[in-house]
Amino acid sequence: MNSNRTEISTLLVGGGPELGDLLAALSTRSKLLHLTITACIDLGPSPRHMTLDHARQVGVPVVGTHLDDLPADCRPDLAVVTTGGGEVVRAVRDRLPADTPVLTAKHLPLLQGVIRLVEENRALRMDSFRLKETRLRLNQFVETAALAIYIKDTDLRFRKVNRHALRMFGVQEEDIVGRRNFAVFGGQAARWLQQVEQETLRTRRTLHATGTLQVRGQDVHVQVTLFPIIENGLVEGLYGLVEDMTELFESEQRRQQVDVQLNETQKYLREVLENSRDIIFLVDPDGRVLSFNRGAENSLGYTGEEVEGRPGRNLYRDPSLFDRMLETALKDHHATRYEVDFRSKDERPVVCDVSMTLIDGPDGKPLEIVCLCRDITTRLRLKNDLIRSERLAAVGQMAAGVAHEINNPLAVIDTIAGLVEETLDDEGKNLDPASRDLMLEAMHRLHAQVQRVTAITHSLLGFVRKAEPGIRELDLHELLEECLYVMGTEIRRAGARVERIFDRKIPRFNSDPMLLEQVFVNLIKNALDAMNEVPDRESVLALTTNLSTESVIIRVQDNGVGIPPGDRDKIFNLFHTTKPAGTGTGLGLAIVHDILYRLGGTIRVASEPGEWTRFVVELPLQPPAPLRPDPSISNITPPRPGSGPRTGG
Amino acid sequence: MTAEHDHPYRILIVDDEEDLVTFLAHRLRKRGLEVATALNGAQALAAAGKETFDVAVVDLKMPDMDGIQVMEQLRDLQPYLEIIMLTGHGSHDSAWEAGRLQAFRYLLKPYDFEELYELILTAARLRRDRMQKEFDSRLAELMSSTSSPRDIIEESEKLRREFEQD
Repeated sequence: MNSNRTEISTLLVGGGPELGDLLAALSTRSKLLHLTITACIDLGPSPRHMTLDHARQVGVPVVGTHLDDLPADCRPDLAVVTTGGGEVVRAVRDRLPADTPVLTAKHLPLLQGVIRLVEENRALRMDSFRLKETRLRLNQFVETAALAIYIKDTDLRFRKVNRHALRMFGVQEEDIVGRRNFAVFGGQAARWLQQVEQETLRTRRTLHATGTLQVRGQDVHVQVTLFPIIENGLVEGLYGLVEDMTELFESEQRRQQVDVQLNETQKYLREVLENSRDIIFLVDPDGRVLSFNRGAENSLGYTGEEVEGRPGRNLYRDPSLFDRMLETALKDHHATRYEVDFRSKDERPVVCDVSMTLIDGPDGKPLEIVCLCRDITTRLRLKNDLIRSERLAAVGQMAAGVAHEINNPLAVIDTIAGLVEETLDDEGKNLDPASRDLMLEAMHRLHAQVQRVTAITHSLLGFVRKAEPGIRELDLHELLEECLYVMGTEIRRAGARVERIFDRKIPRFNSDPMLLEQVFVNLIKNALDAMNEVPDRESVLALTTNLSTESVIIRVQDNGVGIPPGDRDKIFNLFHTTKPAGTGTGLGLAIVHDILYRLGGTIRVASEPGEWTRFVVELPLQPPAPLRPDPSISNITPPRPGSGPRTGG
Repeated sequence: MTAEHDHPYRILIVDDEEDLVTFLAHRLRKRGLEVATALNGAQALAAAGKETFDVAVVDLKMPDMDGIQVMEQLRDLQPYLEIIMLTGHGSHDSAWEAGRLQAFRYLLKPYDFEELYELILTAARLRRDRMQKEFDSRLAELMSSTSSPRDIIEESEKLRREFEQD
């Protein structure tokens, strides 16, 4: 106990609960009140003597139930009498020295007030202590937390910055305290943070913000939480909590980047699939079409909407082949077939090499089947053209030889027939007129039949291939006029009117005039034959020429009998003829097709049965160099001078 | 129909197809032409060595030599001879070659008899006309270059023999 302080020794006199309360209040606060209870007299003790027991416990030296229990030398500095009776007060005064102050029941409220004040002061001191404790802990936390924390004043100057913040900002304490953002961060970052801080001070609210701070030239992505510091209703500054989100941010960014790349890749793949000229479609494991790309739309003529959701097998001309392929694909993950016939919308033949590939879903079950179909229709046609040309060449070789052998005896037969005819005419007067006429008629028929065979053998000679190319510059219109001139007699005989619609822009170009003459003479001959079959209509033969970008187009149109749709594919076949027996040889168009093939050109036919037929010839302005390999001579390499084996370097 | 000239036209038919030669010759003779025949190149050249022809009808293809050679050699023997080619082939190359050698025309077998006959007449007429012109100009040349009348008679007689068939 403080030695320099004077303890006030106090005597308590009273009874009942008031005395007990007072004893308790004074004894527990004795230090604060600087008093020591030296005696306690309970004049009306409760049956269990609680007050006195308590007094003994707290170490009051003198306890009793009667004033007589007070020792004679009792000289307390203060006496407190809780009972109201005047005799008790007088008796206490009598026993104590005269100057001893006595607080009576009248004064008790004062004492209680003092006790309450002391109590409040104590609580206040406790609070203050706890506050100090909390601050200390907070400071400790702030200092050591793995979180950057700073404190700023209202001027937004750093007041305190924790270790983590110093590390994050890459500065020493002395470099930052008392300075503003601009001294620490890059301009843009500083301005951003400043704005958020000002907002916090202005709104007095806790704010969150994310942004980027530039620290030592590096971007640090942070999330900032700002608390205003408010004391006595005034904003005194703010706390700033800064979390480094860089790693999180970067991983997020990487994820987004990967997502973007994945998206790009998917988009790219989709576009490749979508825009591919190949037919690509997806079917589900049940064979239903899931999607249909543009190449498929172009090649097959259906739109995606028409096909999607429908069985893919319907796209095949032989749907059971599709089923078999699908089955194989589901079993082996892959199925391939060559030269599959497809069913296009306009019934045009489309032939594809098809490969089906099964794609499994994430669950390992069959998800979808990619059907990749390469349209080989054109290639196949070219191949067939080549085969046709080869066949023609072979036939031509043989035919030319045979024709020669036939032509000689034919010439003899015809000569003899003529001789017999003449002789019958001149000297057959002795014969029976009926049999003479019959024989004359027979000779006439023989002559006609010879002519028929002659037409064939002479056509066959059209297959004879020249070894050297006859390519030279020609004027297309001159050539067509020459053909019309050659066919003049037949044109007049057919009574046909010739219309010329010539494109005068067509320049001179290189091709084989002799072969082209064969082409157009054949086409004109055909047209005349077709028109002769419709005798009651004025025959009009129209020749039209057009200049295209790299080719010329010649149309030979007649208003003849026309070609039934079923025959259009066959008319270029060898020995196919629709003409009445004895008129056609089935060679003309085959030769035309063959010649145009060799000259790099094409021929198409369009026709309205009973109305008209139009042959469209397209010729390149530059013939293929060399000409399409002529199968009949391709295996013969002419010996070249000086091309013998080399003997040394 | 006969030639309008004093002498009938003389034709040489060259073809290895004996039937053709025989019956073609027969028919042409019926029309008033004088016809000699040959079954191959050698015979043709032999015939041309003996007598002069207006027109030769030559098959392009024969066993011993081809028609082009025959034409060339016939031309050597008789420069004014007109030649018509017959061929069972439609070969353009042969036709070109024939054209180069100025064959009068070429016909594909089996030919139209009337067409051939007309061609022969045309060719023969052309040949005689050319001969006449040549004879006239040579004679005129002779007259202007030779002074002695006797020489003139002698020379013109030689010329006449050269141009006239025996």
